[in-house]
Amino acid sequence: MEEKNNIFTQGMNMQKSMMDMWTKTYDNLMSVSKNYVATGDEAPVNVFKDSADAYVNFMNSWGEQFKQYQLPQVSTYFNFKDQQDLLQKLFTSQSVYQDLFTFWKELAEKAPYDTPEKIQELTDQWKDKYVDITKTFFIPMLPENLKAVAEHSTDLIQEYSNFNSGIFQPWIENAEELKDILSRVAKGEKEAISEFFKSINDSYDQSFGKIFNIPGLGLNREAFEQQMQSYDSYVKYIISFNELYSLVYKVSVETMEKLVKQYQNMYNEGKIPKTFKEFYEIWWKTNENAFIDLFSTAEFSKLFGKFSEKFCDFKIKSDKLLEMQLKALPLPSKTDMDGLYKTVYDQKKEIRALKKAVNDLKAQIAAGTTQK
Amino acid sequence: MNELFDVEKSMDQVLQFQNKMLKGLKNLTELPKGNMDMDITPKEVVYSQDKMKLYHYKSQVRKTKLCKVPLLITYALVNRQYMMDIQPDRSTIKAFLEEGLDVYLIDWGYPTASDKYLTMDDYINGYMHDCVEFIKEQNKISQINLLGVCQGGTFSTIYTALYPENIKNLVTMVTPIDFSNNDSLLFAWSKNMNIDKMVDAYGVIPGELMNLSYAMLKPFSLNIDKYIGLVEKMDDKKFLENFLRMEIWINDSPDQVGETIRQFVNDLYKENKLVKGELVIGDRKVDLKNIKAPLLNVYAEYDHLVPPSSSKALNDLVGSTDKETISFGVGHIGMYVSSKSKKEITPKITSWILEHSK
Repeated sequence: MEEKNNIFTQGMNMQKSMMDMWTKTYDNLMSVSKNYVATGDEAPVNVFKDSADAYVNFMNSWGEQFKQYQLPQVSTYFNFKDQQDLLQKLFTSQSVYQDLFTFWKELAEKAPYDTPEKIQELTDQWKDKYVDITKTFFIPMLPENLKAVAEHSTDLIQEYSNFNSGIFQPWIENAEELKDILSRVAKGEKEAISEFFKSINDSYDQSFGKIFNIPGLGLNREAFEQQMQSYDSYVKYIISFNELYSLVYKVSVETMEKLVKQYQNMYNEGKIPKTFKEFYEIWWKTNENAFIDLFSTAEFSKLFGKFSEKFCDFKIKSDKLLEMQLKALPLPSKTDMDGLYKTVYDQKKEIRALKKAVNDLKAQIAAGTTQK
Repeated sequence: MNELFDVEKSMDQVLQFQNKMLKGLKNLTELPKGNMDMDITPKEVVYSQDKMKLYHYKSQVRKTKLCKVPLLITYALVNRQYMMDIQPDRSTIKAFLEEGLDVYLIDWGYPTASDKYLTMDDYINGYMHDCVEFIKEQNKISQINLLGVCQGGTFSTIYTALYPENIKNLVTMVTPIDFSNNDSLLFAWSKNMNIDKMVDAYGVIPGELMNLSYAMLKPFSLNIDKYIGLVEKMDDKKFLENFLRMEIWINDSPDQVGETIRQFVNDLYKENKLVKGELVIGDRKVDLKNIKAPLLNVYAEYDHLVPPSSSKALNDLVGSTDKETISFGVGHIGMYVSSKSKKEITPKITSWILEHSK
């Protein structure tokens, strides 16, 4: 009961502080817009900009305050894990919603952008952020144990895009084709990204892939080979993930460009969404259709299959390596357990067949039909 | 105030959004502990084997009004069977009982690594057949009614083809039969999936991986808009309760037994062997023409998991003369939880079963 009172009080306090912030923001906003009207300066875009800025500031500060100070406390009051999970998903969606609002703000603020240069400027400015939004919804929905791997892997797409330092630098310098594609990536050619990963894959197979697959020598030959194969399968998995993710990246950017153009057309026709909610509806439906179109292509299906296969290859090899490393410990391995499971399974089947035979015989005896 | 934007309305919407979210958070903290009144229609375990349990639901009508042919419900291996009893006021099971059906249901349980070698043969010729024999013996009857849901419908169809003498009537709901098309993303993706490698890597495929695939089918509506929409309504406690029930169910995906999913994907999704008459379960070939029992084939018109074309194909493949196909304007899950479920779908199925069990 006390807990419930606490959470209620906290909720009320949060609401009060939010209302105070809101009232202040709203008053400022109204006075700004009244001034515009009073002075006869229509400046609708500026009114919108001020409103939007105020809203974004308000949302950011409230959201941050909530996430940092209140959320951990609030979470403890939830009865079980499902409610906590739901809360997490709510805040992830909320965060996407906020980012999208900023995008809408920029879009509206900079209208009209009727020249290709202006459109390019806006899309360039938003490209990475927009992909981040997509990433935001893809990754938090992954199972907990896959999040870290996926986050790490999607970060690599940025690394690959720059690709100017580290171990691969000399490799790049020697690969004219890659350099050419890379420069096209830098210019924003979306198709080039997918070509880039295909070339990476080929180059890898012809260079590092060979090193990882050289036969081992001496006493530790088996361990060496397994370790190398495990590295090899990891690199191939990362490449295939990025190959797949490059399609997602491409569609994200294209959809953003499409939305920008769509917005411009609506602007010209005087039919732009009047509220953020209307814009949000257009945004998610346009994206949903774009991604379903992508997921329906044979190319995506093939790459998705390849990605899962490479991931499984990596898992099989790293499990094997791990088992080898743990061999000296007094623990049964997965392989040992599998052997046991198989024996139990086979014996259960046999018992079942024998039981059936016994019952059939009993039935035959009861019916007096047994042959002697 | 200005021609371009309705600032006041926009801000008002945002304010309302925040208010609802706060009220909703409070509601969220006050939800009951435990199973949220899911799966609560009274039942008892009457038979079990390994992790599988057979439930018998407590009759809700007088004995004279009870259907003489018991109904066995077979659910899919993916997700859990309590979808059919997910909320007290919209329970398919409860509706069946109230109309006089005598309901048994198979709960496949949660497989673990020790179950990795179980095959479709074990599920169909083993568990399912043993349940049917148990029900026959308990009721001193020679035939039962069989209702299969989704993958459970595929299993039920196969079972009926293998043991036609045991089945009086067959009902299939949102059941994949013809896997040749790519009308659903799952059908398309499965054809490029190296399931052998996945089974070799995992033994049993984690339920989380399955959930991830389902969430990708409608990426923005299932991962973002659903939760944005939730905020709009989470000040409504009843709505929030039902939403959370669905969330629990959606994420409650059992791991998939390796050898079974291997055969299901390779033989059905990839090779379409059931339709071609080439599917072998145990040591027996499955011939759908062996199905002579009356058939009611129910599919959802907006099903994004099992395309209607896949379900509809069944009626032309069976040997039954009394066969009917009906569809409803719902999605895969809407078949059990939508308002149409209670008003139209369940009554139609119940009356068909009662009519055919006389």
